[in-house]
Amino acid sequence: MPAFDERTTAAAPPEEVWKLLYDPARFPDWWVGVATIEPGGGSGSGSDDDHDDDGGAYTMYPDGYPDFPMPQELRTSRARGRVEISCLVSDLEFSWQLTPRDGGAATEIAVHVEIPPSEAHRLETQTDVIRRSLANLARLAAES
Amino acid sequence: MLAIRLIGGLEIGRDGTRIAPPAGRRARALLAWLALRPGRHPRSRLAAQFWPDVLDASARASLRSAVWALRASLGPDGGAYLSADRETVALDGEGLTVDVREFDRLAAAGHFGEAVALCRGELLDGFDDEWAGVARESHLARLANVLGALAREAEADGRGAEALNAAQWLLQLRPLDESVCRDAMRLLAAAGDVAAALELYERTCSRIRAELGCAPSPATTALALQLRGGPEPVRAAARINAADAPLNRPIDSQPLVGRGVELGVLTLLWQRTHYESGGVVVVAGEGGIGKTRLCEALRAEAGRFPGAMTATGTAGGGAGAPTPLAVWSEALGDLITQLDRSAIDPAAAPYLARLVPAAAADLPAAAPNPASPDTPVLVGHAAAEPQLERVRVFEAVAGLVIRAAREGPVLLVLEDMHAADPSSLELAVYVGRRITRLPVLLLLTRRRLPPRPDLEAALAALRARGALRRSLDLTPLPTATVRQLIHSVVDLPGSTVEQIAAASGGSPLLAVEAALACSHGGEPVLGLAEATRAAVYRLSPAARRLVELLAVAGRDVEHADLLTLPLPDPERAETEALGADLLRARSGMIGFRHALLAEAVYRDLPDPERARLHDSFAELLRRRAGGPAGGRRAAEIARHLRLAGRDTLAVGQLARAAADARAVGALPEAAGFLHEAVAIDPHDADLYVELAEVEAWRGLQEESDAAFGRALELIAPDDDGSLISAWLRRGRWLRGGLCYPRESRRAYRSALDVLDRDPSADPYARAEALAGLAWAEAVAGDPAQCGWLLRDVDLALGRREAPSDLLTHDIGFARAHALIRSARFAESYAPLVAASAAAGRAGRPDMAYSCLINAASAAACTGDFERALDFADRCLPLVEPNGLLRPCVYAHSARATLLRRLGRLDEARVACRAEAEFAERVGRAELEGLADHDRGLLALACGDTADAVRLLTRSLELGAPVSRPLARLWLAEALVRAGQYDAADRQLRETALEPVAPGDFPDTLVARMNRVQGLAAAARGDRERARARLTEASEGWRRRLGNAATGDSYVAALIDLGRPPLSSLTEPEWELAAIETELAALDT
Repeated sequence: MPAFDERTTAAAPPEEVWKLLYDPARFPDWWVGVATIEPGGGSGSGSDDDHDDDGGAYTMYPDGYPDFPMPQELRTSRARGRVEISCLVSDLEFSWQLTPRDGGAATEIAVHVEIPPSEAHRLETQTDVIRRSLANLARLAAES
Repeated sequence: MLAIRLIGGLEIGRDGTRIAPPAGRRARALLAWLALRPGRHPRSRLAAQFWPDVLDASARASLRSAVWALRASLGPDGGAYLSADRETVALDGEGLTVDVREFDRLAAAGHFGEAVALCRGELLDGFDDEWAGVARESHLARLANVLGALAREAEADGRGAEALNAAQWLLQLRPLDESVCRDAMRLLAAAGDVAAALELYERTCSRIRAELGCAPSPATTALALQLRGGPEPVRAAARINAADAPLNRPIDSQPLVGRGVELGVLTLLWQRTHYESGGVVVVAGEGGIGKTRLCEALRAEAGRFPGAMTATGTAGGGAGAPTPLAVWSEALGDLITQLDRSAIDPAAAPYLARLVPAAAADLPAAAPNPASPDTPVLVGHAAAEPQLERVRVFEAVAGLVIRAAREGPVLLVLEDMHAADPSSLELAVYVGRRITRLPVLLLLTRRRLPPRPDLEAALAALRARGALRRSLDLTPLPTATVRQLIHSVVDLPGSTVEQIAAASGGSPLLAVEAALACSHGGEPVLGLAEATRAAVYRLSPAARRLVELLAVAGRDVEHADLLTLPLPDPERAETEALGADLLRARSGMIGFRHALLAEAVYRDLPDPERARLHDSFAELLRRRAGGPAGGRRAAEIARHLRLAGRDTLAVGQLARAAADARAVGALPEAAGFLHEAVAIDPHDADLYVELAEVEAWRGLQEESDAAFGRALELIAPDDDGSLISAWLRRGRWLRGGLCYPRESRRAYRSALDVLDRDPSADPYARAEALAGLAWAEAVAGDPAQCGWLLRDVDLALGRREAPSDLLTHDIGFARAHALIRSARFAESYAPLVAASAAAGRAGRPDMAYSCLINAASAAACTGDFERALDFADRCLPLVEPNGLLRPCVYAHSARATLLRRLGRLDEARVACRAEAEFAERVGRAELEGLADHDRGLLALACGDTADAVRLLTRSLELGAPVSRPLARLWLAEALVRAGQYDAADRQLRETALEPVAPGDFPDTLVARMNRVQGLAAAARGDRERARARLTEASEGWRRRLGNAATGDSYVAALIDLGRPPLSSLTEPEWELAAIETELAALDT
């Protein structure tokens, strides 16, 4: 399965990065390609996946495609301690992890992205999107 | 024709040809049980009889599987005698013969000789179950009556030899019955063998003296005199006196030497318990240093206090895993005999009986719960979740000790705790914490080595609670004291005493044993092994064998049991061994004076001999296990069988040991026994299913899955009964032991897949699977499916069949969760209340509570807090009188939360207090953390910020089962209000680094954090930042308006926290109003 990792350091405490990651309403502010977000619309409860939760469903509308809803899930796992965001249309999985730096004045943001083989052709584009999004996230957190 | 023989072991004949009995242990037992009892038997009774420690539904499923296996083994013709319908099972019909039924028929018809001829051995030989033991005892009693009748009939008819045979057989069954003895003596004399008659008289007299402590009756003595033609011989009297003498051994009656200071300290602590407070005392020291002797001296001191009760248990004994809580069983058995029956709580009796089966007759009968007359709950009648059962057992023991303390001061001595099982240590902590204000002294002895971390942890827990009053370390005795000790025991030359004292290293045991060895002549022996060996070699072969058997036993053995050992003259052997200074008699038990002596003898035994002795002792225990006083010996029997090299036979005992362990909630020990069993027999699917269930109840998912996977590999693909039973059990434990509803859904689907192979098969199993699947769909799948599945339950049962109470509960519970999942919270009340009532009727207050606390949480989701409080209030009569302590904590936590939300702060404070008291009784840190959490939130609501900070900080440290990110945010708010802004900032940072789960309602956390940041900024005077953050918080809550609680988030919290959410439920309108007020305050 194609995958890649990106990381950066934000000049902001972890809680400011955390608030941006945990609030889908703020995604359009930093996630490249996300135009709007609406709550609800996830695959919900009938799925047979291995995750033990169904929380955090919302719908993302990509830039330039207001009629193309992409259901998303913001998944959390106590055991793994990280935020996972998946795109249910194309099965892309994004996992974010935060580590405090400089005594909490800065935060290292790491993201791991897994792309299903059927979407492998998107690897290069997604790498670029995430790299730019990461920079946006770090900048926005520092401005908070 | 089907012929079943049960006397002498199970045999089956069909049309004159012998056929193999069923392969499964349970199926064989079921066959034997049914063969013993003509007529129809309710399935519920059979299920409870053979699977007493599993949930009712699982037990019924296992019964179905066993009936299926039984029918398959009897074949089409034989199976015709097995008739089973929905409610009952029977083994009957024309052409069926059962030897024990025939025995009773012949005896009733007066054909005594023919009846006796059927008895070629013991009834149900090879069956270890308790019911089999009871049946065996009953049959032996009936056989004794028949033999008596036969002897009388034959004597009257002049058939002297037949009469004598019957009388001698009867004497084996009733060795203390003097009338039987006299009959046999008369018949022997009549046959011309007066010497044998007199020898019988002597043997019986000795036995009566030893076991009953009295002289033979004048009638028996007169008969002996008549046969002798003179006065009673001196020789017999001398024997009897000799047998009595060792019961007061000189060494044990010697004054305590060299431990006067320690005894003084312990006596003082004992006296203080009467007037001040009780607690725990530890006496530590290496083996042989004098711990046991010191405890005995203290017991003697304690016994002088009017009304005092003293009881002792000793842990360990031999290799292998001990029976869980065995040390407690022994001590409690001792204590119960000193208590008046009225002093024992009837509700605790069933749990005490599990621990001390031998004392069951001394316990009061359990009664329905009088505290909740409107609630049909039967106290202690049904197995609840193992964790709850464990607390109930612990609570029963603590209650017994507390009640005993009302009668008088209590000294409980638990010896050799370094060898105790983990559950015994836990119980010591549980009881130790509860006796600090009672006249109870719990004295624990231990060795320092090898290290035992869980023992250290237990003592640390007692110390932390202020329950550990004192630790005494026994050091080696000074040489001068050792000399004094030796002189107090034997007279030896001064040089020998010096030599022994110097070599003893200050060990009183070694010094005494070496001195005793020297007192018999020869060179001084300076090692314990050498001294013990010398003492053993001086014994006659029979006495030596007795000593070796006791060494193999690894513990004290009842005097009466010793007499049944395969020795030529056990009484004489016992007398001699007691006189050899190796053994001692105490409270009807015979054992080594010290465990190190037993170990020394054991080490000297050649391997083959050791194995043979283990086999003999296993057989003795097995015979006892069937009797009324023989319970909880399976682990011990298994250990002896394994040491005898009879691993295959040990498997059944290990399975039973696991069931015994489950019955007292000792899950790790149960898993240990099952692991041992499957290591011996890796092809028994039943064992693996059992292991999977136990691991699930321990919360070990991977281990449970691995065991279950192995079971599936072993079950034949066409063995529908076993497959269905296994999948149904898995479905249930995945919604109880492990909260894993998605996997539970898969299990129930798999059960249905197997059931679908034969649509007409087992409607009850189908109904159970459908109801389980309905719940799993409601919680973790598609709730819309729930209704269809429940309709299929009705179809499966048919119109004439009403579901059982447990199934009614399952149906209501599933229906309610489908409604909750769909956010139709108010509609869930009715099915939850109905499910609660059904669970109550089924004797499951734990399940009834679960329904009502869900109803409380559902009502809170609608904002109807008064209604929610009413449901929470109704939980209390279910949990408090039934000793469901953890649910007690949760119920009071719910009440505290609701009362706080309703602004009834004084009542909330009372609820918090009750919550804390129950949490303290459970003794689990996380529950005490929960109580701190609730008290912290109440303090915050009351404006007591210092207390709020303290309590919320501690709740996080204790790992309270609450949303940690949310608790940190509340703590941060308390810190802001207390003016500790930097500390508040640190908590906000910690919040961001806490793992977040769905049950934390993650979509609300950002708004909450913004609010606290806003409050902190306002407190620091940074109005601009405060306004920005509070506005962001306001926008966050505004987006959630009208979406207060979703069914998904409710269920996620339920799975995460293991209980319905209450304190973390969100109210956007309420939160928004608060923030608007805070924003407005910025402008003033």
